[in-house]
Amino acid sequence: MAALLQVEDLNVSIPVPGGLARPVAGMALHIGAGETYALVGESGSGKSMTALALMRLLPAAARLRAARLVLQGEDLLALPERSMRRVRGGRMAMIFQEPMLALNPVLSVERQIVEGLALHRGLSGAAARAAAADLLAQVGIADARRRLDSYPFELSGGMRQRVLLAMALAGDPALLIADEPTTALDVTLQDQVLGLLRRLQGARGMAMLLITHDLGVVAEQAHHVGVMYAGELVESAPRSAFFAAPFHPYSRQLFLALPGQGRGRLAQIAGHIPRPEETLPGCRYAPRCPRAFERCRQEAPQWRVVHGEHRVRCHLAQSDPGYALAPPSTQAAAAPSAASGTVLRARGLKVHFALRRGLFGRRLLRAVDGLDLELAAGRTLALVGESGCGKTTVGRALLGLTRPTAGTVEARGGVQMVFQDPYASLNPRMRIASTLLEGMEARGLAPRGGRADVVAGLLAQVGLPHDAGERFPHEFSGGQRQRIAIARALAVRPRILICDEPTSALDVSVQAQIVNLLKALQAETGLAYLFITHNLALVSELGHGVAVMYLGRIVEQGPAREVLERPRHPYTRALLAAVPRLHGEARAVAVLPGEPPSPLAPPTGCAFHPRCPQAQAACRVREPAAVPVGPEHWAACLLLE
Amino acid sequence: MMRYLVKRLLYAVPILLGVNLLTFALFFVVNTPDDMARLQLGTKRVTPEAIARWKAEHGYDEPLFYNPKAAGVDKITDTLFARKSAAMFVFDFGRSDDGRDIGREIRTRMWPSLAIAVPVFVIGLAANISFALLMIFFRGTYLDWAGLALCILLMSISGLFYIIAGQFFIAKLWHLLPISGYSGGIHALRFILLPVLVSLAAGLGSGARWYRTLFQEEVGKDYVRTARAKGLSEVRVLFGHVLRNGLIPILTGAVAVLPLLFLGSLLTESFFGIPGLGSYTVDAIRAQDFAVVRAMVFLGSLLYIVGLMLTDISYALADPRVRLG
Repeated sequence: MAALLQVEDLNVSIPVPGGLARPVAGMALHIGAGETYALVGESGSGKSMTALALMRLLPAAARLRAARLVLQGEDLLALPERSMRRVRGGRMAMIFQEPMLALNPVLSVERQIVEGLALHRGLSGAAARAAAADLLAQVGIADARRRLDSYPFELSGGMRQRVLLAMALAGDPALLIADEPTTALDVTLQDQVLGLLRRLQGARGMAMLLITHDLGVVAEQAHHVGVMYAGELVESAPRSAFFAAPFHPYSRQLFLALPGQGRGRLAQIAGHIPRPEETLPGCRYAPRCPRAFERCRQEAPQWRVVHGEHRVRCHLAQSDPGYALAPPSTQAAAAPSAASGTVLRARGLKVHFALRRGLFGRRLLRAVDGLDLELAAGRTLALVGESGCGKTTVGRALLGLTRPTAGTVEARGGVQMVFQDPYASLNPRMRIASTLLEGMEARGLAPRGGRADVVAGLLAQVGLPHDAGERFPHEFSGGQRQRIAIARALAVRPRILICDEPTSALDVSVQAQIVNLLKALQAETGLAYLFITHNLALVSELGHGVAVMYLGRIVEQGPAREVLERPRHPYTRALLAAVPRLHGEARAVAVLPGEPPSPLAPPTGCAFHPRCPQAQAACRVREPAAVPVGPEHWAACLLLE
Repeated sequence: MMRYLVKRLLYAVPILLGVNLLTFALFFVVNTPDDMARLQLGTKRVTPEAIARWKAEHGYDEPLFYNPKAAGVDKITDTLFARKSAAMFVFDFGRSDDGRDIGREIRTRMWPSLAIAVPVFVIGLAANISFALLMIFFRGTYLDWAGLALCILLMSISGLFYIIAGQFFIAKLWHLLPISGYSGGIHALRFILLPVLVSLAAGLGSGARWYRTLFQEEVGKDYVRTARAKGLSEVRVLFGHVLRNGLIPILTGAVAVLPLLFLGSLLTESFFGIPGLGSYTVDAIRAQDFAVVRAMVFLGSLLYIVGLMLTDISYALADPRVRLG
């Protein structure tokens, strides 16, 4: 039987000053009806460009060329634009990464869904409205009729992604292209959306091209996996074969870079991905490949069969089919330098924001509502929770950027912060050296002479070349920028570093570099970290202790190992269960339904009870107190009392 | 919404009071009534008696803020500030220095001003938006470049040039329309056509280029890609999605100047001899008639405040994300 979508030798090229960029080269993939094909790769690998090429939605300057681009037996390349529009959104639909940006901000949900219904199913008026409400119900939006009149800004992140999905389903597509559909979402929402995609796919017999950088998502969702690197597909295999034994050195490095597998130091990939206008005579991965040999640099590898449908583009498949990648250095994270007691202590920390409503009305937003924290020198405390739980506010209050409403913060030594988005947190008009020196000057720490040495020293500490000081932020990649941000924080010699999701904007392999850097710095200088994150895998990698936050309060706290292996609070359990696993089958039901309630109107009793699978009548009434459940391990849950 | 408007109106009172005081200080303290009289009477044979008589005739013979000679409330009301400046709050603009009722002049002269300003505003907005959308539709092609070059050419030429060229070619050489002047009723059309055309040409370049930039920014956004992925045609993407978002800054910017249309255009009206408020102001400045200038400054700031309020309201209407409160 012919596959639903057949792509062979697909190329995208864009003329750039001084050459031709080829973001996608020689791409090939086949997707059968009802099947999920996962396309994995890091930023710049060309996976999103491939999706746009299939939809023929490439930027105007780009040229598309393919030996074969066939959907349901129809050659898409031969179609005139007018007929292609019937395919787009009809037989082939797409959802995008940033649901807030992907929705038109000034049109109602109804109008945006009905547009597709009118175009592809010829519906209008009341029939279209009913069909739109039906679609919203299908994607799991409660009270669908009322939500039709909402605007995107009135919806939560998870709901926006659901609306986007409803829009894509309007044309009843045979193939759904999902471009990083859950990357912008929390782990619990990711779990819900992935489950929803699976159910819809099963019910509709829809095929899916899932584009992601997250191997965990792939493991749960895919039938077939394709790995892309620098514009080329380098490995293609059925899911089970791929996860049992990935062949290509790049695929293996991706696995080794994943945090949370207890390997000690994470594997890093040296160097950076070649730019799309760079032409290499040999394999495009050769410059970074630990197993590259002479032939790799001279001759581009052809497809080789590893086993059955498992194929790879690597010279090793011919020369050394049973090769084993050198095991990653298993050196455990260096033992923390002698801890010298508490460096940061917060007691009864509360941060309330007064929101004005009307002339006299006031509502209190309790972002942080009674929180105790203690941080020891040379140790890392991970603060974990979903978006909106108040974890960032805690960081800001500890730093003094936000004034606490109540409670005390005592810090012994300077506190500095590394922010989430390295693209937005560095002043684009300042040279790196000035950025690094600015804080020192403000505190009178800058030496009179030898500033260049100080800058070079800081840059060396975070693994950047010494000439980086003379350059501007835009000349650096995301990972390098985050290194600069860390160097900036280190410049004023703090004893406490608050890291607010420092790696969530970065690729896995780059994340591994930053995590390794943070560990090394801690071992070297005895810094204490408060590591704010939503990624539980990172906690096991970095954290000595964990505090799990829900709606402004800590619900469970303890040593990292203890909490991850023996979670006691139902919320911690749910968070852990929601993390996509590399091995094992996907769950049928979402582990945690719904989204966190608004901190403007927190539920009575235990704040978690409306979502808690084990909630009892008492949970609605009584607030739980902290119950010790192990050495230095406590949880606030009535079930434990 | 209602509460917001009331609040804004209350805020407007102190602002207008400030404007009123400031203009009063400029016109009466810096430039005293004695100076005014001297200017009006000319340089020759100006006796103190003549000045006193001129001031008495024009009502400038009272103290500035406080009149100790009067009794009771009149101590405050029989002053220049109360009579000449604060009175404007009830739209009592008094008389101009040549003795005419300024309020009546404004009421008759605003119609010719509106007859030119309104068509220029409405047609101009439509023309600029259409031209900008056309360039966006052909973006990246030579047509787009040609349109952009035309815009820059149009905006590089001085506004005076359009007036002079229009009068020379259309009126003088080809006798299609009268050079200048005005008449009431249906005949007004013949007189306003040329100034309207000239104003449109003068505004097209900068307007269309600015709007094109706004639309260009919208076209690059993610939601436009989503709209295309639905299978919408480029025309529907532009009109259904891009226009709606791009229009928000355009409309709100335009609404701000809406009330100021009453005041007409200083340049156009004086060049085309239109008896509107623009030429009235220019004439008053030329004749050193400070009573008229003061009235126009006050009226201008009042209308500007109204314009800002309308801007906020139009924002709330055009963009569902904006709530007035």
